[in-house]
Amino acid sequence: MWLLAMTAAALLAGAVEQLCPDGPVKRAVRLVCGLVLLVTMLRPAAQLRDLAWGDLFSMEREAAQESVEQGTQMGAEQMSAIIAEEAGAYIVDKAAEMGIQCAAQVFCSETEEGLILPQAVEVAGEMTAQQRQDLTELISGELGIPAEEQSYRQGGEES
Amino acid sequence: MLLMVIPALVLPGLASGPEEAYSDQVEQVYQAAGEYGDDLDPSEGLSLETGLASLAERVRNQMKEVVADVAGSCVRLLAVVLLCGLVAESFSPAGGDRMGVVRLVGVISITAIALSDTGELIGLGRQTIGEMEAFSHALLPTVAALTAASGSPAGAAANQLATMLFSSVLVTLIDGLLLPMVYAYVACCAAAAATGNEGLRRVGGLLKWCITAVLSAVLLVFVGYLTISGVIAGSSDAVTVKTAKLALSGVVPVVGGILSDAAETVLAGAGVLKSTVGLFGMLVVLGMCVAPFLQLGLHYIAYKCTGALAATVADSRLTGLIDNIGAAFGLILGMTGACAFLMLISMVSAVSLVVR
Repeated sequence: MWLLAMTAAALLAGAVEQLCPDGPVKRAVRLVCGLVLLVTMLRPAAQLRDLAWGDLFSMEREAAQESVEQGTQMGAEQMSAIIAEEAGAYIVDKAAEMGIQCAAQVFCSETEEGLILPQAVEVAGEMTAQQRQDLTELISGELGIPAEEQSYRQGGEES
Repeated sequence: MLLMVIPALVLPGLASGPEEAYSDQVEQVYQAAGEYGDDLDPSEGLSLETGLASLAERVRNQMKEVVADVAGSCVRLLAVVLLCGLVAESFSPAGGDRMGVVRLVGVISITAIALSDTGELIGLGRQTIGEMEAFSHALLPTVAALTAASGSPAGAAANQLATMLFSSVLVTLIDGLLLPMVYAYVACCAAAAATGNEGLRRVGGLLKWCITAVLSAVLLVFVGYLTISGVIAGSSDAVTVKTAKLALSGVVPVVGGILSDAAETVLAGAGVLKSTVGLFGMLVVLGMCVAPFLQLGLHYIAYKCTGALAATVADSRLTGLIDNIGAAFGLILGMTGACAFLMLISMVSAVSLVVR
């Protein structure tokens, strides 16, 4: 519609100019037509001034930050799962070397330095008191999980 | 956050793959691609060659229809200028006053024929820009998330900010200023051809220059901003990586090894997925451009050729009008191309971000 209106206005201006007799009237008509066309052409530029350019920048910056946080969060979750899985497998392997058949579930959390580390473990399996002592020391020494964060489940009972 | 940028140097491959972790976001990108992603199956190993072959097939399928459409317009335009030429010839040299009327009728006829093409092609260009913008809202956050997960959070943020910002600015400028300027340009050319007014012809030339200058300026500033912000963000990411390495060196060795494995798996997996999604995005953007580029490009060439052919038999103002309307198609092509260029550069930039 805009294209039609603009073209019609321009053609109309051209036709009016064509029909006018030469002389001062024609020059006046040409001036008026030129001004009308100019105003019509510049109108969209005036509308751009009303846009909130500053808001646009902060909005896009927030959106970018949100995307990055989401990606970082997803990566951290994935990493936490991998670390828990690997650390659990490590405990089970070491326990097997000690003659213990067990399952281990490791829980990770993020430290103040931003590192995701194993923080707690639940070990389920039958073992003697000495074996448990050895395993507790191994987990503390090699995985950095303190003894108080280690829980053991034997025959359905937690200790 | 800090750990995500550890460039671990050992062992790949653990159970939990990045495809699962980011499946929702990636699925959104594939959904947003709509029909343009139908021929592209990322699960079956997407490559640039297969993607381009699919695009070539798309071009081949659409070519015949577009050529027929363009030829129809050219024949109508040539018929008008030939008819005007014949009538003008029959009036001259005695009917000098009637030449103006013949020319006016010719201009109205050419404008009427071109208007249907112009309206249709501007609509097509605008639709493509809208489709690209909508697709970018799904693609860019996903690529940014994957880039962040692959170890370049600052680079990801800078890239998405620059692309979304400039994309918004460009679309706003196109909608609010450049398209009306194209309309005004066509109107000025028509009026100048009808009246022979030199001022109108110059205004038309100025409008065309303004459109080209605005598009070039936006793209230049975008590339400049992306390059500078990328360098700054790259330095920031490098510092974060060093800090993470330092923090990692203080961890118990066994845990350090596990952390390295996990970081390597996550970074590598997200990086591979980022490349796949980035390539998919580029191919979809190119796929979106096929129809408008064919339509606008062929119309542009055809109008230019018709103008040149008609110049041998018809009035120079009429042939000049055909030529100028062809240039308007070139301007719309430039706008669509600018939007596509912005997206493609952004994807190339995101995909090429590597943790050092």
